[in-house]
Amino acid sequence: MDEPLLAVRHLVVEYPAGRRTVHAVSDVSFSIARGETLGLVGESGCGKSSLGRAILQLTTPKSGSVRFDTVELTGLGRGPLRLMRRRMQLIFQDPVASLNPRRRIGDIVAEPLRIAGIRDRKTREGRVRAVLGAVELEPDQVLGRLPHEFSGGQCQRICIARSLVIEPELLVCDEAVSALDVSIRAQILNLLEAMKARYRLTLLFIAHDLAVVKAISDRVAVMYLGRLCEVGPTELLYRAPAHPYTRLLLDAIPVPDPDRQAATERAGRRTSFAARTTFRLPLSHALRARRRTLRRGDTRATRNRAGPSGRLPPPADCCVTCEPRTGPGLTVTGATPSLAVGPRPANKPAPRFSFRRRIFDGPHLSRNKHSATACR
Amino acid sequence: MAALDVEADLDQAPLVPARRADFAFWLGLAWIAIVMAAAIAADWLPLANPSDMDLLARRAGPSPDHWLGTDALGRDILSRLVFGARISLTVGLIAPLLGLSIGGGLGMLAGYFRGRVETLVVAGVDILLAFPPLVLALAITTYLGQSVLNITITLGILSIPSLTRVARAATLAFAGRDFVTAARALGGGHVRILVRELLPNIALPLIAFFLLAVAVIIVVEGALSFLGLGVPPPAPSWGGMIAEGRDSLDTAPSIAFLPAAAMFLTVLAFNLVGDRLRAATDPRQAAL
Amino acid sequence: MTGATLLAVEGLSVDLPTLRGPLRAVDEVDLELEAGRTLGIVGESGSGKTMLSRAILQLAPRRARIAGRVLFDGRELGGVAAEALRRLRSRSIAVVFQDPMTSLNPVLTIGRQIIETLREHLEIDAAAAQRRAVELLGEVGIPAAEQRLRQYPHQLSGGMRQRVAIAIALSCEPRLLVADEPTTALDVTVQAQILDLLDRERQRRGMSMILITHDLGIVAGRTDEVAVMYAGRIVERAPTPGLFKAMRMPYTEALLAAIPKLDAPPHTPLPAISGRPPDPTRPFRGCAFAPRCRHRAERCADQKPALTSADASGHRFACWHPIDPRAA
Repeated sequence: MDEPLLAVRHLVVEYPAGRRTVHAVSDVSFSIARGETLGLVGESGCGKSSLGRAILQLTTPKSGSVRFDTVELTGLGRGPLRLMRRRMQLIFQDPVASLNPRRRIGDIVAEPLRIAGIRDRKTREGRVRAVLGAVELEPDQVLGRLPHEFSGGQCQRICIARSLVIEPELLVCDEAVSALDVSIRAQILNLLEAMKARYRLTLLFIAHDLAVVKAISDRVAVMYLGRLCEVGPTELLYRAPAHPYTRLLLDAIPVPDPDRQAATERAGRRTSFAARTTFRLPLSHALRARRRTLRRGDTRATRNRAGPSGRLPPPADCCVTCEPRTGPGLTVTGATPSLAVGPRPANKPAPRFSFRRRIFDGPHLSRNKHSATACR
Repeated sequence: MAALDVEADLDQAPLVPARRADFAFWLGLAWIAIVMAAAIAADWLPLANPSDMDLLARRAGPSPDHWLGTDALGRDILSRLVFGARISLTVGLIAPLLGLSIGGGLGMLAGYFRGRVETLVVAGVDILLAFPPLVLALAITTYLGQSVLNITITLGILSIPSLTRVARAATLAFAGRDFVTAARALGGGHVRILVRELLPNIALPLIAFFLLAVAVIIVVEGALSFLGLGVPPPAPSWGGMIAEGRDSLDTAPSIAFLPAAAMFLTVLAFNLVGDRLRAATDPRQAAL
Repeated sequence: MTGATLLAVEGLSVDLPTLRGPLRAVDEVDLELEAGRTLGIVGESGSGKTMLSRAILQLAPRRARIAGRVLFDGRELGGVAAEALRRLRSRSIAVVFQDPMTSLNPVLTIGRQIIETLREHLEIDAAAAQRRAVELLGEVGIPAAEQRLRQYPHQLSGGMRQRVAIAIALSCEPRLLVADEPTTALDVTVQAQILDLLDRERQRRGMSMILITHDLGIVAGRTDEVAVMYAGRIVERAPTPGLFKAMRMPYTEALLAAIPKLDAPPHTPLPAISGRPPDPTRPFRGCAFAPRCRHRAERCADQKPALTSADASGHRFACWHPIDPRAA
């Protein structure tokens, strides 16, 4: 039990976008222990989905290592990789789109068994029925039908069933509940917890909703623009976030309590504005290699150093070191020293966040946060 | 853990009315069925021999012996139409089928693998598309001779580009969807994904386009026959009949118009059926 | 109770014809909104909130059958001629939709879209419209406005696009702004900014606002009154602080309970609402929430409860067995 089930070290994922490259994930390292749920939180464009897919080798990472239970996944040949795939599964955000619209549910859920080489139809059917029952669907009502006949929540149950039928060890949930209604979301979260207990799973739960992540995770990692800002045990991270970005995210969550919102408005939000402005400091290229210590309230950042296209220059080393109000330096909260944020080593080139990244929105490209900053 | 009761919602008629094929669709289908049946059963129908020349009744109008009259050489037009249908339909169906299998396959591979495969396929198809079709037909018939087989192969090759494009577009639309990624995440190999995940989804739009291609090929075959590049006489073909009727346009125009009408109706029928099918299998509908 | 009633909805029902029979998307909704106030409408998908907003704006699909009245400033909107309605839109009532990528025309520049709206409704010349457009973009917090005017929607981030959509909506100084899930597609930090922007502009211009969302958290801090919808009906309506202090309708309470709370320790099981929202084509004789309600009783399955209030606080609910606030 000492060896973590998943160990990611210095993972880098890049995509070509026209002539430039998008740095979706920059030097991320963390581990997940067996039986643990790690929540991965960040806003859109921070690279969390790219990270999830790169871990499963659905996209090839540029560099770095992903060790799954002592097996190195990067660079694994196609055959061995396919065998490993049975041990880790992915749940997608859009449950209806993850099911082939022209195949029947029984067929879809049995597919992993077929791929795994289980030839006997009776065995397959038995396992399919068992797993459908586990996700609280009545097999007879469901087996012969097509995906479009079901609601989002039911489709997500079917997707979960499909992932669990081969009894994987790791389950990556990529925004698995984001597209669902509030009441259905709660049902699916409860279901995931139940399935985790029943199948003894390890979970990597990727989401942008901090409240949801808190409900289900043992530890939480916060991501911003391709890097990890903070990792720590859930309770601690939420109670006393060390990193300003984490605090910013927490402050921005609309809490369904009018009194608290009024209080936050009077005090908290102003803090978060300050945090925002210091945090997204667009450093000039000359400062690239130097560690930069920022203080809260530092308003140098707000100047819009717009280039001719009206956009800000790329941030070279953002979120490197930020002093929280209390202690000095960055507090690594958590027993596992898996934080990978630090000044860029002098010999490595700074990541160049391409302008294209801000022109063309896409699921893996960063949002134009800098304009959001500058406009406030 | 109690199971959710989904039964209550499922046994219901759909909210949005299913697209019902309309009058035109059924009419078109009926015509195609009639023509195909006649063409297949031509030998057993009580028809005159299409090559029999009744020199006493040349350019005759409709009569009990000849229901649609005779042409300039006294041959029965009705039987020539029916036997001519054979040629038109054979070429019209088999050539696009060739295009569908080769073009469809290439298009799927291009849309799925992207990268170099796609570049090669698209480049190849573009080159093929750049060939003037009639020149190619001329070249093949000159060097390899005029026969049904050669015409079919020529037209089949010429129909590859458009079917490749349709297949590639349809594959692109589906290959990015999550269910394909899910299949990969499950450990599915390329063949499994292409055959079990993608093919069922692109089959219908492809077939709908295939029917439209049939209509086009029939016209092209007719044009080739009209120009004398098609099936050689005395085998009857609609295009050839139109060509032969050209000289008699002032005295007996029906000699040219009847085969033209037959071609028109058949092409229209395939267009109607293909169009309705295409509308019904619009991938956007499948996404709902 | 500040100003006059700006918007009044009386007995509004919307029926959509389908193969299975008429689908009742909105069922006898009554609403009032005063000038300068914000109303939040909360509901999950299928609750009818979007169809309600469309019906109010007279944008319902043509095949929909609408009963009831919508009165804007005392004037009934249902019978208004198309030309007059067009003038009413933008000048008096403006809309911000959920997805700015589809509500903005992707092939026109931002500038063109704003200026078009300005010239159409305010009848000013091009130069003045250009100046006003720059001003507007500045007001909604978009820097380098002159350059932005020449850009296309896809060149901006989601938050920026929504700001542009808001700028267009506000360009003609409407008196009522209807925001239909304006932040659902946005990140949480951008969401906070957009909501702050809407708040600020509303206060500055003395506008009324209807904020439609599925998120109880959004309405908590930013609305004066909240109406909760379920299966096409309003099941609870109250001034915001009163609602959150004492929820009477079990659905509202269950909805709030199903949201994971930031305060709760991790792995707290969420009290999920069992079952699914009802099928609108098979209207239930009694209360639509009865099959899923913990407190249900005999009467709930037979009779539809009307929206009533127990006291003068303005807190109304539609329930035969409301939760007793004292028992909480």
